[in-house]
Amino acid sequence: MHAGREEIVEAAVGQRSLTSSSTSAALVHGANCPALSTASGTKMKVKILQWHGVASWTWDAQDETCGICRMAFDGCCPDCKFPGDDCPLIWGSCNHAFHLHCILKWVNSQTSTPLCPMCRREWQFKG
Amino acid sequence: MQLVDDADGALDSWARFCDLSDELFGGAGDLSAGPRLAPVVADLCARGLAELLRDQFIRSLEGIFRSNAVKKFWQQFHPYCNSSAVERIKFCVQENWPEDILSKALEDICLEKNYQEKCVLALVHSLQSYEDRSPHRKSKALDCSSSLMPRYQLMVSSVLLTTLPLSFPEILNVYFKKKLEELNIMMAGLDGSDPFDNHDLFERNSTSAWHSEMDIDGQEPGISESRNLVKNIGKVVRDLRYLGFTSMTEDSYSSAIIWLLKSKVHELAGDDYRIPVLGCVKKWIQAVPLKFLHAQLTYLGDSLDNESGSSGLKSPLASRPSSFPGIGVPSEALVRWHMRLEYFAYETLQDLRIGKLFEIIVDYPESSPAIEDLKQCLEYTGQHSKLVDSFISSLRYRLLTAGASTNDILHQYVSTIKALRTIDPTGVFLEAVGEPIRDYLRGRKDTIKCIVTMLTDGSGGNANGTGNAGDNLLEELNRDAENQENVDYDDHTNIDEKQAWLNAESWEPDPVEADPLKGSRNRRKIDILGLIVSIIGSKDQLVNEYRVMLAEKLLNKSDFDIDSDIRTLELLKIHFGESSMQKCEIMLNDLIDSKRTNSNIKTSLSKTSQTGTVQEETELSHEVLDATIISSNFWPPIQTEDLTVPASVDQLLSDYAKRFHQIKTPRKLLWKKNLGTVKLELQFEDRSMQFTVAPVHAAIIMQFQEKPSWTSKTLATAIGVPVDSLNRKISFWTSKGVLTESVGPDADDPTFTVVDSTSDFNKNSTVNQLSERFQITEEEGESSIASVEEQLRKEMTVYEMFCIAEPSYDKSLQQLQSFLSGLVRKAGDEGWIILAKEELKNGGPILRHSPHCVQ
Repeated sequence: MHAGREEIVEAAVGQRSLTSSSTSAALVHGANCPALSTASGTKMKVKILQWHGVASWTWDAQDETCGICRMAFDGCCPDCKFPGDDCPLIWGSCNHAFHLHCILKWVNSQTSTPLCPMCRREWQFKG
Repeated sequence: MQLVDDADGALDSWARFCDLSDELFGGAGDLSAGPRLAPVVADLCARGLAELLRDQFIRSLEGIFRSNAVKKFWQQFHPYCNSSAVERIKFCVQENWPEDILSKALEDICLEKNYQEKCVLALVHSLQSYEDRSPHRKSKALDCSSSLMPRYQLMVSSVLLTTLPLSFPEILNVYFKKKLEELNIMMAGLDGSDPFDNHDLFERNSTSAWHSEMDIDGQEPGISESRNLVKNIGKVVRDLRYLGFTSMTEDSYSSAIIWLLKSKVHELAGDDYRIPVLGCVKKWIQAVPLKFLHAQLTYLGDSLDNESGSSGLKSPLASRPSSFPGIGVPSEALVRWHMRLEYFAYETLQDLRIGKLFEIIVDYPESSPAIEDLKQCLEYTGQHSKLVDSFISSLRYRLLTAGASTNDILHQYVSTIKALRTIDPTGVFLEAVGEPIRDYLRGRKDTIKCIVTMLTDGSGGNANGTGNAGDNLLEELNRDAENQENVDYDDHTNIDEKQAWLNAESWEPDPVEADPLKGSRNRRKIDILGLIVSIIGSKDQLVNEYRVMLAEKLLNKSDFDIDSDIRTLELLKIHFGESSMQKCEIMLNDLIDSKRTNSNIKTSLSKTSQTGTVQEETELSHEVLDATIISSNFWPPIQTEDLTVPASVDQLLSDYAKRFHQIKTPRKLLWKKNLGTVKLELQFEDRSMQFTVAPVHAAIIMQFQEKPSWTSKTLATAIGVPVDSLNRKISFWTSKGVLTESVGPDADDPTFTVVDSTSDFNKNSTVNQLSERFQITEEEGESSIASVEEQLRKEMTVYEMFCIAEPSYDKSLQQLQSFLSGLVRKAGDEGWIILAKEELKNGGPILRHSPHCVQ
């Protein structure tokens, strides 16, 4: 990890030699009119080279857990290893959400027309 | 009349006998009086005076021997015996010191004794001739004649021993030591300058030396010299034996041999553990002391009992007597000597190595020859318990102290496991030695952390120094993986039966020292990882710690390069099972997904920004933003703090989140703004500096673009963090000399100002400043992941609420305990009661909460 970071900094230094020459040009310019620097308030500029942020994702479901497997929506169904793309959520027309794999299993196990496990209305995938 | 005549005759004969014997003793080599003795003796014997005659004869011999020979003999040693300890050392340094005196004195006294023996023989002859003539009285006189010689010998040795000066054994000792050393040097010289440098060469040489010594005498000057030396020693030994000093002599030369052997072992074994010495010692035993003994025994004619001797040996250790080059079948005495010397060598080397075992294990992989030696020694001597005791005490003294770092202790433990595994594959002694270390490590808070670092890092958590030992655990993981693979190649149906059969065949009883309380099954397998993990108690704890460390590492990455982490994880999966590493796998998978999603979002964002014209107002390009998107359910609890990032960055973040929502509908992105890394460049008029910092640092410094000075309170409000946290974070910039702190009117509210580069900064160092690069080091960066300890503490706060309740708790600790144990008895499924149970068990946390209770 350190090595990687160093490399990037290294690369950035390469860029910097360009910018620093330009700042030294600015310095020559600034030295000629010192009044300007005090008037502008600050001479420091911050240049963002890279902003590596951290975020978490969430299914924006109303409920916390899947009504069938009782696992968290942001987790995955018992058959899956990885959450997210591998184990998506699906909404029914009744606005109840389940893990796709869970509701498919349910739907396939029903002999008659499948009902929503939560509200017992007929199950239809929300388009 | 008859009686008187008889008495007169007897007196007459007695007087004649005395005259004759005096003549004999004083004859100085003239034995002519011998034959004349016979009639007198016969006459006296016929009168029944044989015993009297014998006693008188011996007594007068004793008088002469005592006054002449013995006195002279001891006088030779008087200068040494009468001197002080210091002066004795001077004697010992003299070149030919005991040698010359000893051989001369021995020669003299032996000559004297030899002559006296002849006298004794003369009397024996006279007695015998009388006996031959008078068969009816045979028994009594025969008794006298045959006991005469042994009585004389006994007289000689008892006279010598009663007059023996105390320091005579010492002199003998010095003599043998000197001679053996001489021989040792001679033998070493025979085989080049130092034969122990090159073992193969030495072996060949010594063998040939043996042969030539046996067959062709005096071909080489060195060999004949050594032969002469041995001969001289042999002569001295023979003379000493002749005088009745047999056991004293044996004591002397065996102690000299042992002494020489000991110093040889010490010389060879020294403090260098990288070369095996046992072989050299064994060869040396054969080359010097055994050769000496062999020559000695041959010279003294003791080794003629070849056939009967060696076949009668029962000792199992003697099963390889044929190993003496050039001697052929050795005599029993020699075999015994060989065993004795080897055992002594083993014991000496073993003691030497055990004493230094700690150091040996410290540089273990290099010192494995020493370990190998020690193993062989212990196989012979069986003194494993000595090793255990001594090693444990040195561990206690040197390793298990507050000053030693947990890493060092762990590394030493790993080396110990490896080293003792060689010495004792059953692991019984390792168990005994390892227990104190394990106990101690359990008491250290950072043990788990260190173990996990050792497992994953390869650098052992110690960037400099002991890095190479740290590789060991990762290596172990690798080996584990390989073993697993090898097993897979075999046919599975066969392996069980085959393995069971092999196991049964190779079964051996545990050593006597084994602790019967512990099943022998447990110690069959010495698995380093298993041992290390069992220090902690459960693998869950270890996996949890690993997860926290992994999370910390991944969140601080500024790229998505996780190849090494994936590899480590795969190895850990093999060892700890896939299911326990599931969450870690998801974490790594998040990184892989993030990389993909990140590039998707960025390409789509750059397309829109090209078509749109927003580039102007948001001075930041979308290119600078990367994101690690995590499945937060599977990560350890993350410390989220509020942070208001500058508007430009905030814009970027929300654009990114919007795009994510578009691509991955209906999923949403929630930024954890305080996490991540920011690379930025501070541009001043005359210089620029690069930093890699946390977002909060970036947010702070970016505020100074608009206004060169901020009070901490206003700044804290601007970036949305508490003041105390801000004060902590801002110290990063002050320490780098970018900001300066000045106390304003309000002492609690200091003002921070950008350092004016042209006035405040040391101009001379500007060039240096330009080339400087800054990074937050580990200590400065605060952990973004709640450590395991912090997680526990957080759980505790729930529990704490019961204590801080109003009105304040006024019961004593004992009352609280009994109340809680009452609850535990009634325990339902409620989490906090179970918690209470755990608390009761270890007692400590209750005490920690007692201040709350009392207040």
